[in-house]
Amino acid sequence: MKNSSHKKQLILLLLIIFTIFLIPISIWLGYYKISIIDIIRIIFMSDGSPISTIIWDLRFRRILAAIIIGAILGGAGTAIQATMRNPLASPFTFGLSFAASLGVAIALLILQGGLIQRYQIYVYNPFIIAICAFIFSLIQVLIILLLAYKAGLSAGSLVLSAIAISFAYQAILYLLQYFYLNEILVSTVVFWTFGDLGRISWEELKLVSIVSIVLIIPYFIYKSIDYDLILGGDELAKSSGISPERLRIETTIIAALGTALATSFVGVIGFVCLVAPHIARLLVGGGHRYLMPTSMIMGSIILMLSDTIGRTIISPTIIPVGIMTSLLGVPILVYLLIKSGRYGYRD
Amino acid sequence: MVIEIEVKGIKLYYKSTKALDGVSLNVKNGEVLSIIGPNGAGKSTLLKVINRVLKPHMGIVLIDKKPIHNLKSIEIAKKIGYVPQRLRATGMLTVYDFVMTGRRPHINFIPTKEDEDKVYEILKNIGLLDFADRALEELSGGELQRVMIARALAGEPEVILFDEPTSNLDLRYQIEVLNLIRSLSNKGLIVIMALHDLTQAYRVSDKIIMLNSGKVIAVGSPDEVLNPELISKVYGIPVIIIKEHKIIVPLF
Repeated sequence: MKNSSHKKQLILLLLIIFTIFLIPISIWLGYYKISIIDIIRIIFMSDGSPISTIIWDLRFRRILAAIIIGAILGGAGTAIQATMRNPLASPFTFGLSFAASLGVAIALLILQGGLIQRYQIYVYNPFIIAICAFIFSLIQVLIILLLAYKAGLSAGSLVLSAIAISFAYQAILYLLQYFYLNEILVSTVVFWTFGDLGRISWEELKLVSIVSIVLIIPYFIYKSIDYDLILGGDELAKSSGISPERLRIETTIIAALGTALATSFVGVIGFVCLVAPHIARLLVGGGHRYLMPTSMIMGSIILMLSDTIGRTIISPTIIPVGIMTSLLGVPILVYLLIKSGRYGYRD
Repeated sequence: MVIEIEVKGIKLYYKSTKALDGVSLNVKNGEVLSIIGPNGAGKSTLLKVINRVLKPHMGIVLIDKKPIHNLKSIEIAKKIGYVPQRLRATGMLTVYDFVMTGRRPHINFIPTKEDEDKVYEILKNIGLLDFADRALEELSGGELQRVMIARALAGEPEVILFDEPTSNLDLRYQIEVLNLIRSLSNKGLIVIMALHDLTQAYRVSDKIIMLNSGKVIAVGSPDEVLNPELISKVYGIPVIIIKEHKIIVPLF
């Protein structure tokens, strides 16, 4: 018992060390070669040289984005899986990502929160876009909760109907493109939905970081024992003085906020929120005290690795991280689902 | 220490069917109260009303004369432990993590050293120390039952509710669990349990309440409540009662 919690602490520590080591390595890998020594020197002392610009604005920023957004998505996936007692639940499979992306498109096109110009999206006001994304994810939260409580759908049907609704969001998105846009604009919107860490601005990164460090991450960590408790069922949670309904609603809304922020600034990044918790569970088991932080770090690592691979595999062309995570995530997920016939969540 | 629990005039409906129809009872510390009756009589519902997992449409539950609807959920949870009938284990939670959730009413942020020591002690007493790192999914029915009891005890309750604690167990575990229940009541806890097995109710209880279709049919000591006429009327099966061995045998 004592040994096993030491083992889990050790795994967590190793993952943190691995993440820290991965940062300079990810910066080092890329089309423009920079020595590791220069990288470490410039991380601690930026000098305004072109190398410093490459390191800070082209590479370090997206790595920070990968760490923060990976942590949000990993944590949100774990929290939603626990509160819904559903191994397939995640912001992605619940359609929150697609709802948010529709919100972003509407903010960009109709509310003119930004301007799309030849493969670049200029965002005038990141707040409008984030708020719009959040509103749309909240609508999806409402639909999910209604389907779960009012219609009483089982775990499997819930995910299935959420995926169906995701297609509806995509259809509306296509419709918008069909009516509003010319060819260049359509291609930029399509490009935008791929999910790319490179497009986040420092200002947007700051917004995401503050919200996650102040609200999202502490909330998920703080509720760890309640997530353990709710796995035992709603009645058990109530008998221990916790309102399962409240925990579920709060968690889903916080997860929707995280997903909305992530989606507004880097596009749809699927599978991290689904795969990271499952890998973390294989490493440290189901207790959320260790599972929650491990899932977050796992999310960061997956996103950072996918982005680095996407940047370097057919360099100088960059494969957007959304595509990379899906390509890498699908086989991992299928493997985990086959395994989870024995472990993991059961209906 | 909780001295007395009183339940007065509880009525509760599921949609239009009456689950409980004017149920009253009282139980004092050191007593074991068994709730018996056929399937659907309202046994589990009554237990869930006592710890306010379900809210009745009418009637009140009093702990030491104080109505529980004035207490915070966490306050009730500190006093009343609950052992459900079964657990659908999920999410690869270990026995240790699950038993720790029983401490939830006492935990503000994360489990302290004291919480960890308490859980360790309980796992040792219930004989679950070797299972601490096993996932709940890997356990047998009997092991799960003991884990659920350990979880309830981890909260250091003064009242403990059992929903058919022996129904999923083989003979040896049944006796083990009943002895454990007896020892809890000897320590001064109030034990309230829903039971199917009338012989077990006869042997373990200080007091029995018999329900049928949400109504109280009889309440009192085992010898008063468990008489052949009443049992055959409620269950529709004739029985013989062997008083000297406290055995109830259905005739079929």
